[in-house]
Amino acid sequence: MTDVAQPQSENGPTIDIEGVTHCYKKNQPVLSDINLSLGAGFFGLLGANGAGKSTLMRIICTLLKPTEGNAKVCGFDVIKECHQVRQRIGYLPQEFGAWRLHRVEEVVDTLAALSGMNNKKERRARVSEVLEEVGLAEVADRKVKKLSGGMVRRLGVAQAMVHNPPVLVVDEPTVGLDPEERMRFRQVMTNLGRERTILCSTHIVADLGSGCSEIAIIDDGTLAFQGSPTKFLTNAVGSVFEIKVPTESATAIESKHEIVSRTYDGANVVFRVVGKSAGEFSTDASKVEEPTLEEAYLAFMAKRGKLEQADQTETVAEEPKKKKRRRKAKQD
Amino acid sequence: MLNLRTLWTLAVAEMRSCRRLARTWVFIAVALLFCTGWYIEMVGMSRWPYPPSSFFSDGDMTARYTISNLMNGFVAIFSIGIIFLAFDIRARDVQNRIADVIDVLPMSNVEIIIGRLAGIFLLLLIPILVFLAILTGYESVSGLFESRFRLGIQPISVMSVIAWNLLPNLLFYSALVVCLSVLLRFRLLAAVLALGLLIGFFWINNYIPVRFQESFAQFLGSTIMPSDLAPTFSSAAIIGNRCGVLFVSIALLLFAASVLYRTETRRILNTTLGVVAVSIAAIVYSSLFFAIHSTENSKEEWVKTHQQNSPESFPDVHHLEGTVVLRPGNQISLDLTLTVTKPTAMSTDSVVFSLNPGYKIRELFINGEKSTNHTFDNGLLKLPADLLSDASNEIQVQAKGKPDDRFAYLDQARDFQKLTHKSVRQLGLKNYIFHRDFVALMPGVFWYPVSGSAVGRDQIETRPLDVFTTNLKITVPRKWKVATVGKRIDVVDSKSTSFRFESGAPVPELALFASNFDQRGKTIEGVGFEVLFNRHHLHNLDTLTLVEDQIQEWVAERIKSARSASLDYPYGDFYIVEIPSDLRIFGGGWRMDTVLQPPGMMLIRESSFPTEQFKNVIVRAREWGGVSEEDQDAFVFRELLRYFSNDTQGGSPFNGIARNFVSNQLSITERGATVLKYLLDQLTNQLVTQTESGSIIAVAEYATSIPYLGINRYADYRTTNSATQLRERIATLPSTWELMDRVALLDLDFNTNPKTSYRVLLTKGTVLAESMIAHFGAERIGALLKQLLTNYGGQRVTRSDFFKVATEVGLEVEEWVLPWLEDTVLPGYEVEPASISKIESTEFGDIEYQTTFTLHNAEPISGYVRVIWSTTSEKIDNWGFHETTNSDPIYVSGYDSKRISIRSGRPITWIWIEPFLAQNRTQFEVLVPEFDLNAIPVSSDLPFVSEADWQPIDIGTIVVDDLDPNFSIVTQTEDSEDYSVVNADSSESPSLDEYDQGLRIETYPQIGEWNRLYDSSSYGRYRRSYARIARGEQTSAARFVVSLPNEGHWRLDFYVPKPVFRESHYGAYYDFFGTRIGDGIQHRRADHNSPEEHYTLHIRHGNSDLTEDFDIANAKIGWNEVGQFQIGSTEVEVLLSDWAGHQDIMVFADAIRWSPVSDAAKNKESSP
Repeated sequence: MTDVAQPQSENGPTIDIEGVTHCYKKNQPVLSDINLSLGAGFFGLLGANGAGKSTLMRIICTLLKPTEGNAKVCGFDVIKECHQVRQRIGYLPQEFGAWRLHRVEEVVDTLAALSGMNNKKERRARVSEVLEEVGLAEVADRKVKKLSGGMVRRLGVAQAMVHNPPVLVVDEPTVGLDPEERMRFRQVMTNLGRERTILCSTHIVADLGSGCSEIAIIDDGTLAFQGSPTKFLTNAVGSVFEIKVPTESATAIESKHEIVSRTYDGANVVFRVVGKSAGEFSTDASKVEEPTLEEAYLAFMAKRGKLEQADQTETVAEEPKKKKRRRKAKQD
Repeated sequence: MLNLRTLWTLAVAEMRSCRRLARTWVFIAVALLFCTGWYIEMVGMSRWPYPPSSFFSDGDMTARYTISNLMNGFVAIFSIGIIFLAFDIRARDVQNRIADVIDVLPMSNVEIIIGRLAGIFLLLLIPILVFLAILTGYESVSGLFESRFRLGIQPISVMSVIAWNLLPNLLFYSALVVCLSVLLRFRLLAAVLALGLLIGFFWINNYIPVRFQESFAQFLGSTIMPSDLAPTFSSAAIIGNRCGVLFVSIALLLFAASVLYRTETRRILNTTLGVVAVSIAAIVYSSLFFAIHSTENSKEEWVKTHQQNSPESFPDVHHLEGTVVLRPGNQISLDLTLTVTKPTAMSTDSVVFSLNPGYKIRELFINGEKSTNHTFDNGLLKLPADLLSDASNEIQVQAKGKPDDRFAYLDQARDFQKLTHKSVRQLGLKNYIFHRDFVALMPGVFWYPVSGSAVGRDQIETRPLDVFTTNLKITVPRKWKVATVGKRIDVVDSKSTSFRFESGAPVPELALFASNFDQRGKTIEGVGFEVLFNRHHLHNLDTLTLVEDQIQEWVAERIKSARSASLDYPYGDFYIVEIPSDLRIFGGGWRMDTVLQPPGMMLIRESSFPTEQFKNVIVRAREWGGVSEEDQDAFVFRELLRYFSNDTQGGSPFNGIARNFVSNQLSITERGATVLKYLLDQLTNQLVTQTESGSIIAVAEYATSIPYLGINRYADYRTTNSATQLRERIATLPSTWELMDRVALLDLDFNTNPKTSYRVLLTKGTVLAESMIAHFGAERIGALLKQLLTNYGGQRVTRSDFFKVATEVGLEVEEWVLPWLEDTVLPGYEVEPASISKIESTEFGDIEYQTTFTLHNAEPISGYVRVIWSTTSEKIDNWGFHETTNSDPIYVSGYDSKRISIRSGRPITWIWIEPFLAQNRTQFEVLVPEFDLNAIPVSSDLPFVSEADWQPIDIGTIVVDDLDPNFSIVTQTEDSEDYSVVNADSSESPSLDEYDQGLRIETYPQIGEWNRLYDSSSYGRYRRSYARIARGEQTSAARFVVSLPNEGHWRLDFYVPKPVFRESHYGAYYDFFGTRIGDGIQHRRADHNSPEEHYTLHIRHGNSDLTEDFDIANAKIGWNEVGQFQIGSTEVEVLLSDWAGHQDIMVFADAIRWSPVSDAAKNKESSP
């Protein structure tokens, strides 16, 4: 077990980002003046593709130097005290792989050892435990190259949390996971989030689940929202509506409004749509009093005039990434 | 600080990754296969004793010491392995998408780099270490079972090469590759660059001068000279070098860490530390450089100091007596008394001695009086001359210290330290050895006080060499044995082990060897022979007990042979001492003679006979077949003699032993002293050992490849030792003859042109000695040498003294020898074609054949020849015959002719004349005409040699041969139809090429280049040669110019040598990288069905320019008529074009002949 300071949630923020700006190219900021303070808990970072989530996470994980501003983890500066920061974080990158020729247990054990778990016996036990937690115990002896995409993802989670870091940074952790795995992941995160800080970036809003204590939304490199999910949902009330129309009229609704979801009720279709007020709909629309997180996110983005981007975040944008990964895997 | 756990975890992970890569195992398998292959090849090579050579090949060392050479190959291949595995060390992480995870782990960049590198390093190190362990284990176990299939590797050398060659180089290449892979975005570029650097370092390694090799060579293979006698694990220079490599490697790793694309707070620190490491490496290497530079400066200072002293201040030492106490590895204590006389022509106020500056003189007494006025600086001991009386003086020197290795051979024709050949070291570079296990005090290091300065000691013409007697008590550690000149007598002393040696006869120098030797002795014909070998190198001595009787008999014969020539071995005992392989085996001065033959001793390098596997010779004799049971011992003994007689390093019984009999006891001086000394050594050698000395070639020829001109085709098939073969090769080189034709023996300048001068001395001096013995007889020459010793033993002797003594013993040597010494003229032989007749005989049956020819010496000086003939037609590659008969030497006076009549049972097919030394330069053939067995005339029986008055008949013809001054090669430019002469004079030979009168000697034809070749079938008065060109372009021609006595009708003949009709094929040749650098060339005879295939001759006289086609397709060997011409000018030139109608037809230019056509012949020809 690493002998490191626990999250400073009681004494101060675990992750403290002040005025962070980052440019890959000159005068083209990917992040602009981000200010963020996180304590213990499961923290969701939402945003469209290219919004700057991963860049922010890479800065937090000491992989990138911010062009301006500073970031601290557990009170340690990510640049000047990067070694101390690294001792305190577990990181699951957006695109995680592992030594393809190593066995699952070897990967986790090696990374645990490199993270500072020097006691072999304890480390072994912890490796077994964590593999059990992520559901890889049965394939512990299997080489990484023989794992499915979902298993590799779980392996990524395992390696990130094996050394019980006070801060866990996970970037798009549920990509490639099947629904059951995603549910399990949410559960794991929720459990872990009770004792530590988990920063989870995702574009699948539903994955944040009920365990999420706080969310932040990055939009175009700026922090668009930071607060609790409840607050976020509350803000969305009045922006999400339900319309019930006969099936034959569904096409007209679909072509005019931004559909969040649809359900069938006998000969009718029930749509949930995003809008500013009930009056803008041609048929009767009722205000949804308890919108989901996803609906709230879409409503939030619609308010910022970026509904299309937000929509793609949920659906289309996922495709190119998958294709890219498949190509890479093929090359490997 | 580095976290070792982190490093180990990373290393394990990396090893695991690489271990599971297929390429790793493929590489390791291939690498080990290579290593095993090299080992097996070495074992195969070493199964048969290979005589030590001075021409630098791995075979110069016995297998036991070859691991260091092998290791360079091992290191290279495993360095490639490092490149192979580490070039994508970072890229693999990125590819596996784990780079970010690793970068987020709490490790420093240095830890990441070193840890992962350690993984690859260990992964490759383990197989090679295991391989070496298995190899060493196998060697040890097979040694217990006395297996023949082993090298007998020297164990310390394995440790040494692992520590100094393998580990540092693998580390360095690991660091280099990782640095490159981090620096360069493209991993393939990193791999190619690393491989290029590896090849570059290997290439550079071959061009590092010897003196810098220990300090700067990357691959220390041949730099680490293994030894069993004086094992050395390392040297200060090697340790320094490797520290440098370590710091450079550290710097590379730190630089890699600082440029690694990862957030790192210690980047500046890493860079700074990297710079510090590089600086330390630079300081280390600079120190090594300055240490070498300082050595050179010290040498220059010593040379300068010693050169300032003239021979007038050099006293004459008569006797050396005293004690030498050796504390090996630590200190030598000298208490020596020299009996000296002042120089007679004293022109300075001090007398001078040389003594190694490593000593500190504690006390010095002159005639019992303690001296305070002497000085001892830079190895020069100066005593005030007025302290010495005119009579005999005793100078007692008490000194202690450890000789400075650098103070040795201060003047030498070639500084081997400045050569770059990696194998130069194999000739040994330690001037002396003072190891805790072995002491070799060589005269060249001035370990005892020597009269005069330490330079110019071989200038015996102006500085006579001191010869003196000795009486020394040597004290050594317990159980040690000592060898120096004289009979060894044990000195009873309870406190120490001491021996006394009394030389009994004068010696010019003194060497001393001591170690815990195994000692074996035998007295043969009154001479004590003692073999002092390392206790672990006795297997050959044990093996050869089988032929002990033959050896004793052979030695006894040599001693008796010497005695019959009135020569006695003078020093009582003779020691055969094994010496470490790193002891320098060549001396200084212009000759740089072998030092393996100090007075009273013969030294054998441990890397030669002692560690050879002579057991295999016995096995071959017994098991391989071809040798009958009763011939087995004789076979083994013959192989033993063959081994030593082909030794060209000097450690053989054929080399230098003879010097003990005469020249070591004389101080030969004044003009011609070098030649006289060489002559005396040759005479003694031929009288005592009757075998040509091996190292005579080596002296001036170290690291020189003697061009092989393909002249002595007959000689190639004789059973001669390598010394004779090499001498004969030297004797055929045009460069040797150029000097020999120009400068008399006595006028040779050995200092300014040591190599060629020595080649002339070797060529002419050896033959002179051989001719003297043939002419005067061995007994009379022996008597001359004996009388020389009687009259001048221990004293100075000059050339005139030699002739005086010769007259005293009744030999008219002066008249006979002087032309050889003072003149450049040599005999020149012409021969008429042989004729065959039958005589009645009972010796060979009913019919006996008599082949007769006349040999004429057309020069004023006399000489010897041998006649060699064969009656078999079974040829070896068209060059020679299996069965030949050699005649005794035949003496031919100047301008004299001899008729030779050879009787044989079968008709003779070939006859060769082998002059001892003549303007013919090589053996030449006597033309044996074709004959009809049934039409052979009957003649009377003639003696083998009889007087004849035959001389070549001058029939008024004018011949221009390719060696005549009137022959030249001319080229034609595009702009002009005129030719310009390009090689009127002989040019200086560049590099190894040999030029004969302007044309390069080249057996392999070069396209478009006229070469000269030798062939006995070609035309020539003395020498038989021709010029030849392949694929000319009608831009050059062979030009024969002649001045006819008168205008008129002349007939032109063209001489066609045999090779014109010999089809030949020369394959294409390639450089090191396999690039084709030369085309394959064919030669065929012209086709008589192709009219365009002919030679073209331009005959120019006056304003006339005739073009004549010469039908080479239908020509015959010898003279062929071209035509008859009305010549309108006395100046005529004939140009033979370089093109004969097809590229596969070479053009041969040998000779042309102009003959006047009489009116009668003219009329006859013109009539219908």
